[in-house]
Amino acid sequence: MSVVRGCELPEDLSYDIDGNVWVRKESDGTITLGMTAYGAALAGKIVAFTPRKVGKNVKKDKSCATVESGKWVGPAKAPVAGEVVAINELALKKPGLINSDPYGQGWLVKIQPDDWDGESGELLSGAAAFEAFERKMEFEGFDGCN
Amino acid sequence: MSEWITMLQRVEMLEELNLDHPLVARLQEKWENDSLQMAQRPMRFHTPGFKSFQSSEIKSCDAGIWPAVSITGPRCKLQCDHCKARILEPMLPAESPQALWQLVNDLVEKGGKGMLLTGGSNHRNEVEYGKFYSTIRRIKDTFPFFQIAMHTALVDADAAISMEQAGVDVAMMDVIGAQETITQVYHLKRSVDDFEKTLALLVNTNMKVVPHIVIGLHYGRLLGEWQALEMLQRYVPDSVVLVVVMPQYANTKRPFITPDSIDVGRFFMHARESLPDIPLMLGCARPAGLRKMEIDSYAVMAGLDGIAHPAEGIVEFAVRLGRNVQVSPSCCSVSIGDILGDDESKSILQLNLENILAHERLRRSVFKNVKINVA
Repeated sequence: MSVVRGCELPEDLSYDIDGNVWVRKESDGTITLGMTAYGAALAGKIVAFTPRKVGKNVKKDKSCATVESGKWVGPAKAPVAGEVVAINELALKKPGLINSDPYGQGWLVKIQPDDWDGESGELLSGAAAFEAFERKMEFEGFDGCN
Repeated sequence: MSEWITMLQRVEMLEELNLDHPLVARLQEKWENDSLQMAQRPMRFHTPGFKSFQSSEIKSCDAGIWPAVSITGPRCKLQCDHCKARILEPMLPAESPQALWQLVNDLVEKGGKGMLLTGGSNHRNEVEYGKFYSTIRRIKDTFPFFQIAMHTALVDADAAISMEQAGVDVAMMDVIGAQETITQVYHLKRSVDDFEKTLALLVNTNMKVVPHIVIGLHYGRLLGEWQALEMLQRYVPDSVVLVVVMPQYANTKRPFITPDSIDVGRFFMHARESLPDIPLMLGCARPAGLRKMEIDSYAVMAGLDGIAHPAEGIVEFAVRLGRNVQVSPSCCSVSIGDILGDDESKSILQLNLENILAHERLRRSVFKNVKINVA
């Protein structure tokens, strides 16, 4: 686990830096997607999570879920196109999990990508991702995760 | 199944909403009777910067254009059961006249157009603005374009006149119509009459008056909302903002339920009929997630005139219903008159309205002549 300005960023995940989401390629070909600890910290205490429905297709860089806190409402964008195959029912009931366990119980949706190999090239992982997040935090004047 | 339910199902984000079919049928019937000429009313979507907002329909907007400012920071002595001062937490603090002056200068330098000015209350549900009036006057004299919408809370005659003389543009207060709510939820030793007197004093000034009704204020249930509407019929304001109580802010020892969206929808219908000639807005505060989608859908169907921070799919639904859609980056309380003209509003819609309308025209001949205006 790496930590950038107090925000945990697991080393085994891929990241969409602009969208502030992580993805994990699963053995069955699907991807699991969630908000980064950084994204969750920016939003504040999340009070609602409204995913697209299972079976819906999402386009690359379009919303696969709406996330809302007291001071922020916005989309979680899918970095690759595909079909939503699962949503996190637990996070629907307890959206605070997106803050408290963003890489575990607070995942958002699972997607079957249309063209993972063709569209995943912009995702970053490892040192490249952590450096990019540091630059983003600097640019946005982010003080750090608590 | 009503035609409107079928239409709602054509909006992908709303297609699985479980709305009350009899209520939707009643709303459609009222619309088609056209006694309120709802289809002719523009539908304005507001994106004030109290909250960072972005949806698939409306682009991200600058949070600095219309922030909320608290003269007490995060503190409120009233500690009402529905809020516990939590609503103040994300606001910008300006706890002295000097701090307010500096803050507004910074806002103006960054393109700010106005602010919601509020603060925590004392034990009598009064916000103590006294030492700020001269600074507010200085702000208005120096930056006359900078709009100030003030949450007044309860006032006496002197306070109402001081607000007017300071140059406050819009006066806002929560109108409560049930003594039980004032006593139990607000812990106040004030009466319903005190709220009505405040309303009377404010409408007697030159300020634009935009009262709010908090739906579900009695622990998530409707109680004094109808009486509040009656007050607004007696002392006619410039506009009314309806908001819905948010249970997540409530005191856990005195919990709130989330108001039933069908009850909220019925109240929208009643409010529209009670105040047919007054702009009726759905404000920022309301439950999030699925409930918000339901509430916003009823608001569009009931003929409300504006919605702040609309849920996903609501802009498209309004277009399909034939409403003339506009977008404004301001607080919905200042949408009245020409305070923020359309030429100042930046188009931030991400939808192709003509495509949506063309799709709807295929199914509804009534839309043949609908024009779409985007501010």
